[in-house]
Amino acid sequence: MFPHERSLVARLKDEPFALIGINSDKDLEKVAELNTKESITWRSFWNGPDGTGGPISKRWGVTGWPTLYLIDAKGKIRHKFTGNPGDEKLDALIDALVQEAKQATAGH
Amino acid sequence: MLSLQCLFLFALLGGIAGSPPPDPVPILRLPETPEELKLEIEAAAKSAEIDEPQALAFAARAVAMGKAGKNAATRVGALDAALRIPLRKKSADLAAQRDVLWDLVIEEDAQEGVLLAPLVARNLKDEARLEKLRKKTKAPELKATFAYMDLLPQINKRDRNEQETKDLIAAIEKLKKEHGSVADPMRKQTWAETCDGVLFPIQKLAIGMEVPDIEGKDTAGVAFKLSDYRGKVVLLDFWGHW
Repeated sequence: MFPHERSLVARLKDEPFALIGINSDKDLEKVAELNTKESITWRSFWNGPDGTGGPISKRWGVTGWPTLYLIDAKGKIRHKFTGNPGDEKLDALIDALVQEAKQATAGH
Repeated sequence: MLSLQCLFLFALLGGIAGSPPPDPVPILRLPETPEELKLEIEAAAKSAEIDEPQALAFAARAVAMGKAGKNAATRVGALDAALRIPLRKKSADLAAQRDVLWDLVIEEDAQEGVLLAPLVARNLKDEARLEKLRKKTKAPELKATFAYMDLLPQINKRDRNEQETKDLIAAIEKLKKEHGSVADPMRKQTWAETCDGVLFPIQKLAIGMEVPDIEGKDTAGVAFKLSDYRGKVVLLDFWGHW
């Protein structure tokens, strides 16, 4: 997913959009190293030393990776995917919500 | 050749220098514990894939241990060890060995809820055996575990419609009411807490709900909240480098 996420973040860098991760790797030092290597620039919560068994994924009942939630600008959960839904589909859904957010701001 | 035989005879008769032969050292071997067997199985599986003869040898030791076991912990531990033997191919012989232990445990230890609940939760595929145990047990920890097991297909379902969601929430609430004060030994908490944990994603993370906040630290150690990003569309991604 990384290449698509990189381009997504680059494409929407001036839009009301953020990619936020819940990194579920056990070894935090390795994460820093690999983030640099893979040019991962977006921010992630760290799920703790238990990795996929960490507190955030446990509380959220996540049992598959990746799990994605798409949240609108008002903080409502709009879409949820276990597994990658496909780049084009994800792009279209995000773009629609970004448009919605911009229209809401313009209307105020 | 002759001299060698002589030497052997000498040694047998008490040695050349006439010193008495050393007393045989008695071999003091404590009986193997289920934990030792589990560790050995785990180590063997790590170094190479376990084949059937190896699996059956482990199972035989578990059966011997279970049969000789004078307490529930040893018998249940032996069954647990037998169930942890990772053999990829199906083996009727291994299944038969496991059945011997299942029968033993169901016969002797069906009321040992704290010991058996985690084992049941880890071996849900053993349906026939679990049904037998379910009929026999009165242990509250097992009653709660079985009640939860009945809800698992619905809990694990990815897409639930509104009615299914309502029904599931009601069923979990009922489980909480009936078994809430009982211990959930596998998760080391009460069933009330387990139920709350199961309810959270169903009730709070449905499409259309306001997203629950997440507070934590980022991978650089800086504290932040998901709600810091309110006003932006957020793609929240549970991911890892693996």
